[in-house]
Amino acid sequence: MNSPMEVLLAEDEANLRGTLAWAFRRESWSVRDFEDGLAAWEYLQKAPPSAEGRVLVLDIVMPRMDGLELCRLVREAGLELPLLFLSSRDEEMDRVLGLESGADDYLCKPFSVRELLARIRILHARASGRAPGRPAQVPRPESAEALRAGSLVLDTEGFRAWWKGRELGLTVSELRILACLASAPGAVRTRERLQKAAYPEDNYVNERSVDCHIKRIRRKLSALDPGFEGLETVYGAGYRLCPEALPAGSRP
Amino acid sequence: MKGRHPRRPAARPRFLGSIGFLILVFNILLVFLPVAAFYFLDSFEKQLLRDLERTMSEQALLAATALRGDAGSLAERAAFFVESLGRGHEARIRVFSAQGSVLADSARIGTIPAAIPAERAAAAPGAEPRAKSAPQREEPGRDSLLYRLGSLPVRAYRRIFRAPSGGGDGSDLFDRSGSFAEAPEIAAALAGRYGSTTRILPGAEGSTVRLYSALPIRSGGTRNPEGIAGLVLVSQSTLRILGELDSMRIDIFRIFLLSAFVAVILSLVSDLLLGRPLRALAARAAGILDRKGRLRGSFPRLRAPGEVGVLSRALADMGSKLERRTAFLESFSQDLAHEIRNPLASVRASLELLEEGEAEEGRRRLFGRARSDLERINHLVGDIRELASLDSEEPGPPSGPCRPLELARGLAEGFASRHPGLGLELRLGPGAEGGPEAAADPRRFVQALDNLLENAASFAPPGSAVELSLELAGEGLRRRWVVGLRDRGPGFPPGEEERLFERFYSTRKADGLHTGLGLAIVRSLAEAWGGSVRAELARPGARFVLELPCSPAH
Repeated sequence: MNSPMEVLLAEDEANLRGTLAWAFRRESWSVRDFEDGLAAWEYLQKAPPSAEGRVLVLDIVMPRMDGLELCRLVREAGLELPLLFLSSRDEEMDRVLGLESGADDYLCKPFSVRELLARIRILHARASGRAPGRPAQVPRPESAEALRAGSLVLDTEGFRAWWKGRELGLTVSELRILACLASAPGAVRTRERLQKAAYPEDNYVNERSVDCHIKRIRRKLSALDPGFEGLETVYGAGYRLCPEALPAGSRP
Repeated sequence: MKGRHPRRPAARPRFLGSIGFLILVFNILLVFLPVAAFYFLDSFEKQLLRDLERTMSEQALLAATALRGDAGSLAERAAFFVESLGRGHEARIRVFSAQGSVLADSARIGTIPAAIPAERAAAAPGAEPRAKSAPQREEPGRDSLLYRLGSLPVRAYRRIFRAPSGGGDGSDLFDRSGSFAEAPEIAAALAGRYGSTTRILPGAEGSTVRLYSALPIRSGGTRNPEGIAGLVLVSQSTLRILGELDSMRIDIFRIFLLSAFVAVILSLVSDLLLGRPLRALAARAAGILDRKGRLRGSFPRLRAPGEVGVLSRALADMGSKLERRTAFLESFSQDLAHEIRNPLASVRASLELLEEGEAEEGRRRLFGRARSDLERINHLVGDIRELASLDSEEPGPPSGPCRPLELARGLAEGFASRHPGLGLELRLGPGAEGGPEAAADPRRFVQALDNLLENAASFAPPGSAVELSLELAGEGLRRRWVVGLRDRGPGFPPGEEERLFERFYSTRKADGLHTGLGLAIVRSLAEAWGGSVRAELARPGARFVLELPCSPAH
């Protein structure tokens, strides 16, 4: 088990807030819930830096201060806590997960609570792994949890990824999708399979969300490597990682 | 890429659209009308011919009168007379004896034949002196391309409708094999009357028309003053008249060509001013929806004055209204999905937790939440349907008379049982008691009032009272019911008066029951009745004012 965790929940829907808080407490996490972004921000400003790992789960549409504004304030204040957005608007995903927004993950309502809990755990673990004193490092080639495909290195336990030695800031969904593709470079993965990989606990997800994730993975890879074209769309089938486009890594 | 796009029925760019074509045709017709009228203005020609004949008959009369008397023989007098007239007359004057011999001929001055047989006097029409046929000068006009072009319709017309009626048998008087006295004008003159006839003489350049007028010469003297000594025959070619008419026709044809040219130019200009912008608008209208039927782009607002400009601006207005409507529908469906997903997420979360097993108390709470979320979804769907039907359906006939006071009293009674912690004060203003019916459906009125009441109740602090007031305002046609609802709740942020009536907008904390559509429904209803609804801050609390017109029957 990881270090103790505090989950901050900003959600204006009273029923959902109550149920989620209930679920979090059942995991023995300490929970603080807020009915809008402003209340959460006021708490964050006053709260002493916690020894526990903090994760902020926030809705987008909220009165007084919405989730995006809260996210901006948190990042501007230099707070390192992971942010997970809950949204009832598919079309918000791109905006929320833009490279500059600073969001770590995103779930679309109605989501599976199990999936949410799993992701909070992952985000928490990842943040702990990144904590001071444990510098970000490309896993050694021989480490068991590393998945390699050319210059692409994925740490499937710590949920981090590197391209040519530089870290890619991926969301959990993105990392799961990339891991699914990288486990067999050159093989075509259907959308359905990628979706299952991204949301193992959720069987009700818009198929188009896979396309959105792929689009953002490409964008993030191109940001590090402008010529990158190794993530191919195979029309009518799905996607694949093109082995030729993954320059030789340290492993054959 | 075969068959990628279904070929669009081509709106081929045409030189002239149908408006331009119509304008051209109308302009040309307008030019044609006077021309055609003049071309067929034969009455004018007839008039000229009648004038000519009158002149000739007067000449004949003068000659006949001058030759009357018994000084010397008729032949001498005639020769002298004709000689004295000299040359230079268009008309040919001949004097005949009663027996038919030519005594004098203005065409043959200087040769006074004693008695030339009539048959040989003018053996051929060519004997007619050319010098006297002044119209010969005009002849070249007849050959010109312009003339032939211009006279084409006239010639065709004459060929079809008038060719058979020659009016004569194609010979001069003396070409006839018959006797001198058989010519109708001669016969008339010999009988002592005026006689005239028209003959068409075939000639080298086409037939020429000749008029003949004959008058008897009385013998005068004492013996037999009314005896007929001879006759005067005046003949003249109509060539000059016809020639003048022809040259006039050529002039008119020239004017016609010029006018037609101007008409074409004017039509092109009209097409430029009218047809082109209309075609541009039509092309824009055809392309303004993309293949999925979505509105793309807008209509140009043409500066053009007049109808074209008005049309373009009307289309632009329509386009922007459609655009707003489309944008509204798009955002509405997104809002709706958002509104439904929130309670749905909550239901799902509750069910998942229940699935994993909970203690009794937890179970009850989770079930309660799920139920209230489902209730909310149910409300939402109902309200959406309501709103959609208000927007799209024509209002039917009212289900009965709408007496606001009665209906408000009925609602007030139910209010106490639904909201035990709240009071309701009914205040009646001027005219409310026994006031007229309102121009609204009573069922819908109750719905609007109920939405306002529920809205007020949801904000009213426990133990406070909601005030419901009714009064009449305005006079005559502007007479209306004013229904006010005031709560003592927190009010709303200043400046949000209008947003309160937007769909899904709410200042209320999400409580699982209210959909954010109640006030939007009230506004839709009020507008459908021709009334209005507005919100104002009452400090403390808020006041909503619903106005609806009185039924016109009162």
